[in-house]
Amino acid sequence: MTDSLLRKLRRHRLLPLIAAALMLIVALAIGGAVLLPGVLAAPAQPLPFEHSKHVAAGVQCIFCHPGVQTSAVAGLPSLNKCMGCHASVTPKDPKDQADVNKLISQWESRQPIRWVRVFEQPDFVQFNHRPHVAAGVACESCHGDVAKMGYAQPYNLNMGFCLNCHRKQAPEKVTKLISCETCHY
Amino acid sequence: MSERISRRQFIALSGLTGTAMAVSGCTINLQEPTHLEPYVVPPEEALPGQKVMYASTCGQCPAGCGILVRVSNGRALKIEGNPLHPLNRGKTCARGQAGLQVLYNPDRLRNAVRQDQRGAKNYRPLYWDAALSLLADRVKAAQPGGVAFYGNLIPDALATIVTSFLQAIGGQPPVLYDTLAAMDGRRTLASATAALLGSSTPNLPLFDIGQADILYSFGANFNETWISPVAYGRAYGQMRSRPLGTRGYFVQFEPRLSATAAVADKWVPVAPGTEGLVALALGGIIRELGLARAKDSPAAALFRAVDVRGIAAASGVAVEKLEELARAFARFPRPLALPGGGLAGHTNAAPAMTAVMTLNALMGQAAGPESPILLTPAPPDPAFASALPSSFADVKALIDRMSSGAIDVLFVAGNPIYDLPVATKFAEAMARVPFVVSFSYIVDETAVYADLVLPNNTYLESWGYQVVTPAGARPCISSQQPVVTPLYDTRQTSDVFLDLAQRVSDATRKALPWPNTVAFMQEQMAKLVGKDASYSTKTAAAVWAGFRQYGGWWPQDEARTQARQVAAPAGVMVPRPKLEGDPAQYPFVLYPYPSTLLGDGRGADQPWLQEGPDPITTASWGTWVEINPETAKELGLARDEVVKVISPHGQIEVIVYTHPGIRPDVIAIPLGQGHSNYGRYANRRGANVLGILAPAVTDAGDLAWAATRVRIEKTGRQQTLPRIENNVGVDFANQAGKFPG
Repeated sequence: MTDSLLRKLRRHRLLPLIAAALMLIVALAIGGAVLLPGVLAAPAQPLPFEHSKHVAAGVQCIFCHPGVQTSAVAGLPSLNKCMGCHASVTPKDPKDQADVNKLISQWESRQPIRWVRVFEQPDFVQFNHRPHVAAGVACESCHGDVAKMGYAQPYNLNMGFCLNCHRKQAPEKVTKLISCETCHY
Repeated sequence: MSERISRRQFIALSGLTGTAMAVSGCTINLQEPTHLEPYVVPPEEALPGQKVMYASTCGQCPAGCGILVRVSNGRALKIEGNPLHPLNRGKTCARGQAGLQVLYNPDRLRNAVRQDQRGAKNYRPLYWDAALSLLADRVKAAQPGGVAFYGNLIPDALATIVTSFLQAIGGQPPVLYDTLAAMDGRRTLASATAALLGSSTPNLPLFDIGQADILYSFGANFNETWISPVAYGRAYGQMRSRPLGTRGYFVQFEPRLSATAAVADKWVPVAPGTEGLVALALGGIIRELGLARAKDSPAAALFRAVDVRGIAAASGVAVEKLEELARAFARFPRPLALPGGGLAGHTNAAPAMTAVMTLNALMGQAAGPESPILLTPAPPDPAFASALPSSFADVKALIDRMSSGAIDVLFVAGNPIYDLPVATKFAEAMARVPFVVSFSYIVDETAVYADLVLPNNTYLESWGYQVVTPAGARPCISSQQPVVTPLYDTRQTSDVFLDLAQRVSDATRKALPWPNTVAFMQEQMAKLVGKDASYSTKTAAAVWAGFRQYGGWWPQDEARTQARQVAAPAGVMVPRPKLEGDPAQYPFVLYPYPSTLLGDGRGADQPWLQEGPDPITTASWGTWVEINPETAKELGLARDEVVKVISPHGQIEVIVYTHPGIRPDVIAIPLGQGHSNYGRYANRRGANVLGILAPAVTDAGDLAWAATRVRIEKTGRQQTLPRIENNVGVDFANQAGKFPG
């Protein structure tokens, strides 16, 4: 069977073509994953939310994500925090009111919003926001320029990305910052 | 292999395969995205992603183990044992672990409901205020003494509140009957201990098996369900892990090879109900051989003129074997005999337990500072005196009052229609009660026939405390606190009674002045001010904080309470057990046993426990009957055949499981299944063996649950019992003609 398949492929001179195509895919995939860190496409979310409009309105990141200062995770704002503003503030663009109404109906039915998680580290990575924020790392250095985003867009956070920054820290800290057990324990 | 692959082809193929693998490894992650669900309204102290551990008490059985529950973002995620708790010391059993599935059960009632026609399952939601005023009207209109409460072994906080409520309205005290407690023989053991060791109030002892050199367990399934399996399992490990030569030797006397018998050095399959007689024979032989260490003790009197030959014939254990067992028991410095739950199921329960306890006394082990029998220590305050469960006779008295029309309002915090033998006619009696209120958290068999269902919070959402009985080396009050806010609009039963007390009369308002259970508990815990604990007890506030933080109250140091001396036993001989049913018509003795996972059926609503294999048969999700292969051969039965098990009081259909670990004249059926209404995981699965038991009463006033004779009839149907062992398994031993024991 294998013999006839190979013969057929060779007859049509398809073998080199397939190999080349596969290699191209591999190169693109590896390149995309390793060589080109950056902002990727945002997944769809259950509610039309735009970061850019909130940043433009002057809302600080830690107003909605206060966990960064105290906890490992940033956390998402609770519905009653959203309503803290949206109960009285109307959107700048009246066209957006329809979207805000969706939020209000969610609040009135007391149903939590099921957001799709955008930033997620694998189980074997112990990431903690608090020391990063305490060290003065700006949010956008890992999350991209949120002021230009609608939904949050994933940013390619792999180990090379972390180490790039960890290596640039004060020399006395580098040994600890690049040792395995700092993040994998 | 006619095809040959050339080198070129091989290289080309391996290149293709490698590339394909590399591509598949790099493809985009097609898994379902994870979701984040932030709170609608977050609790003030909540930190996202930060776990919080709450100390509480397990509510899966009456033992009262301390647990720690890991909670993140307001959701309970994991239950583990509380390492500080003196009873379980950080351990839990499988049932303790499965407690989350009580909390998250999808079939939970989400609000108070009422139904106009009992059994119609047509529930109308009801506001709590409306439900409580309806209930208050009914209680006020009831005839004197016309309000009754039936419950399981409920936590002490609720029991205290309910008792005060009933007292204030002039009702009889609550009937707290528990199938597990009856199968543990709790009441019988307590009274046998009180009679022998002269303690004024009957209470449960804890046997320190960790110190024993030789352990004879008479029907005590302490590694499975008996009284406090986690504490006993730990002590058993201590006994067996001592170095060779001092490692404890262990013999189990039981008609069936239970999971406890399976780990024993020797299993002695005695005839059902003769365990006490065997203990008597062992004592008689020890006394006759002059091996008794407390010859002058009044206990020795019980072993005068024991008919060893008669007992050997009745129990099926040869005289030589009895003598060998007696000599072994007397050879070691620290022997211990356990009067287990298996004894409590026969009509001779009380003298049988006394015989086993007296065997300890004969060896000088029952009293004195070296004794391994630890009595319940004195409570820190009389308010924390532990109560014993009600007897089966109390249940029968309640049923009589119900059927005579003397009860107008019945509160049910248990599932008697499932738990009690059908022959007790509880359901018929309940039909004569004008108003029935169930506190079940799920619609169970009893709640279907209730007028009002006021769903209780689960134990992970409730306040309370439990006086741990038996506590062992120190008194212990285990604390219970909500680890999450109640998932639904349910209310804990103690709060319902406190609210009801405000609505009924001046007497009830005066008896129960607290606005809620927390206020009641704070007043109770203030009684612990100044008592020794591992936290500060200087002020009531400090006690209240430490009590919740550490999982309860107990003194820092162990203080073992042993009896000072042995009182003279009544001197009664152990009678032969009486079994209900004509032996000609019903040739087998039915041995029902509590399931290690499902308990008496309370665990059947939790799929983890359903899925978990039984330790002996490895079966799950069903009910089987254990039959000796010899018996099965005689009856022409094979594994996975469905048979009818018929008692004089009913019949059930179960699947045959042939198994050499049971006497040929006994068949065993586990409890737990056969629910008609207990949520999706429990319904229409297996059969309920409790239903067909004869309502026979032991001489201690409890249900003689092992005293029913049955016969087996074929149905001609087959049903494969889900089990994880292979089919050779234990059958192989049988084919080789080996009969253990």
